[in-house]
Amino acid sequence: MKLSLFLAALGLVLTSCGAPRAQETRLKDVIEAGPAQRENASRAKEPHAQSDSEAPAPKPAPQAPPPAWLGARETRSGAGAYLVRWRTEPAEIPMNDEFSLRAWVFAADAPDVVLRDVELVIDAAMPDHGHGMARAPKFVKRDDGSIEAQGMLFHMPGRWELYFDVSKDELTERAQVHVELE
Amino acid sequence: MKRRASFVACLALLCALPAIVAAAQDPAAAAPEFDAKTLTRIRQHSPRPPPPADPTNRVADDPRAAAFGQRLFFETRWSKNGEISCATCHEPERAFTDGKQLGEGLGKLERHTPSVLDVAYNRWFFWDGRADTLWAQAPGPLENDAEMGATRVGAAALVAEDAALRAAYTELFGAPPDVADRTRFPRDAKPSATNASANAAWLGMREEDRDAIDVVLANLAKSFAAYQRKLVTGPAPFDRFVEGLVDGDTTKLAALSPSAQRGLALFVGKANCRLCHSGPNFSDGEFHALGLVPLAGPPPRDSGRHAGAKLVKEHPFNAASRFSDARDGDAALRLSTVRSAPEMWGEFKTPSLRNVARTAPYMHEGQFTTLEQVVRFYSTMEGALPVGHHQETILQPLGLTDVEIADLVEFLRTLDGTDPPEELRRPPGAR
Ligand code: HEC
Ligand code: HEC
Repeated sequence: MKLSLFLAALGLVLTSCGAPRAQETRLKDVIEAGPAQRENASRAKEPHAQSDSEAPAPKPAPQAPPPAWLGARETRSGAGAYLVRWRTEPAEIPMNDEFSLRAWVFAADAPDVVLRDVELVIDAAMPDHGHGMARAPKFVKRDDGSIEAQGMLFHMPGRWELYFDVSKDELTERAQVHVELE
Repeated sequence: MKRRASFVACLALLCALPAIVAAAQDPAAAAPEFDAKTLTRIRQHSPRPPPPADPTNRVADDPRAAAFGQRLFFETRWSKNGEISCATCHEPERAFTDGKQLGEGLGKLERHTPSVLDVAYNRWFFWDGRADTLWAQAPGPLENDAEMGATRVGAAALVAEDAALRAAYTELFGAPPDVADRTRFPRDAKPSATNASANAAWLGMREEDRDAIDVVLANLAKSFAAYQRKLVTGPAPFDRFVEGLVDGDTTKLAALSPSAQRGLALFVGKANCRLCHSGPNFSDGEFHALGLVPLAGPPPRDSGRHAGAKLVKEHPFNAASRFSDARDGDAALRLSTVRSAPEMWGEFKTPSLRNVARTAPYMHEGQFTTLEQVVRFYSTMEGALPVGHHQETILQPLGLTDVEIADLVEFLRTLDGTDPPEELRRPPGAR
């Protein structure tokens, strides 16, 4: 199923693409992207998926698949230098069950270019209880510049704070949000 | 969607029902009225789904392995004095515990024997969580010189030489290795930090022989687990009550007395027991320090999770080990994220509260004899050791009244589930 979608997308890309060079990057992007993006890529090829414009363009220009951070939750670092976008899997943080969290860092004044030259550490705690997570999540760097924290666990109900510490050149700024678990 | 709709539809009725039931039984004793938030919280504890699968154990749900494991659970011959089986301490007629403060086998143990009823729901095993799967737990008591004092070579020999055990083993795992040569396979050989001669005998064996024995031990361990996974209790009065909350059946709602209902309201409300005793198993599966005074008096010497977090990662039969049937699975990821930190000193696993009325005494050293003592402890925290630097600060004295204490105890008594079938509570073939 996934494969056929992928092949269909490939076919569309091949027949509708103009510049061969651009096509090369497109294919590479599609191949490197995860299954979700592959699906997005194929959906983007459906005529009315992207725009509501009345007259269909004679030959739609190839579009990059939407970045995985699109529609993710956003939080700004304390001193305002960074924007952190993040999403969890599952989308709603479960009470006392493992989840993963993927985050992208942007300069606040360029919120569509993922910063790759910063260090990001993700952590969480329950300040009211004076404890952190019972786990030390595993961090995986993804090709699109995001960091995925695997094996996160919020093992108790109540107020959790999520910390994104962004460091560059010995300077660290923290972006912070809280999550209320029932 | 549909469930939510019917839930909302019932809500108004639900809030009133317990009160009606109570009034019918005893007009003087008022049952609480549960608001929507309380109802949501109550429903997080019931119904209980079946135990989670264990992909690290390929025979976890194989009935043949369970039958074999049941035989092994009651087997005494491999113990050092020929008299001790798992069931010596996990006695079926005592809800698979021993009723003692501290476990007692060949010697006296340092911790209290937990029940193995519903053990398949647990996330970590032992009070300190030093085993990450149910099967990784089994080699411990088998070889511990204060428990059964068996050796893995001796166990492999018994399986190879006893016709019935051999047949059952072979059907599941293939023929056991030929260990007839006692110089190659010394019966008293096992890896041990405390038993130097057993350890020397073990290290004197060829590597491939040790390997073959370890495979047998892992297979036996997985069979112990397959049996214990079946020791699941049936619904408790509390589960019936929650069903009643959902479907409005007054006979089900009568499963909890007004006092127990008030205890339930406290449990998920003011007393906040749900912080740690969460979910259908009434445990978060994680570790906390209650500041209990050790039986031998302060200062505490048992570091609990502090050591357990380290041991579980080094455990030779853990989910990431070569004996695991899912080395890259969720259990292995979970294991790799175990954190060990100084503040875990003195933390112990939150026990499930299911069947708790039948598993006295309580806590990791059996410090408390009755449930009332336990609840009084949470109420006053009297005698609790001060929390260390950096340790969590969740527990505050609750200051409960005597009636509230009695209500909480009454509620805890409604978590008693029905026993697993009789044929699982005795040696196979016995009656
Ligand atoms: C001498 C008494 C004794 C014997 C014999 C014994 N156990 Fe236990 N068992 C204990 C004690 C004590 C603990 C808790 C030890 C700890 O946490 O460090 C325990 C813990 C357990 C647990 C962990 C439960 C949990 O939720 O953490 C399981 C499972 C278990 N035993 C199964 C077995 C099996 C299987 C055998 C036989 C191979 C066995 N036991 C033999 C006393 C015993
Ligand atoms: C901070 C987490 C936490 C909270 C809150 C909490 N418990 Fe516990 N409970 C534990 C832990 C951990 C243990 C085991 C401690 C030990 O043995 O060292 C335990 C043990 C128990 C036991 C003994 C069970 C057994 O089999 O030995 C009972 C009963 C119990 N708790 C009931 C309650 C009640 C009732 C409340 C609310 C008043 C409550 N707990 C609140 C963590 C908690």
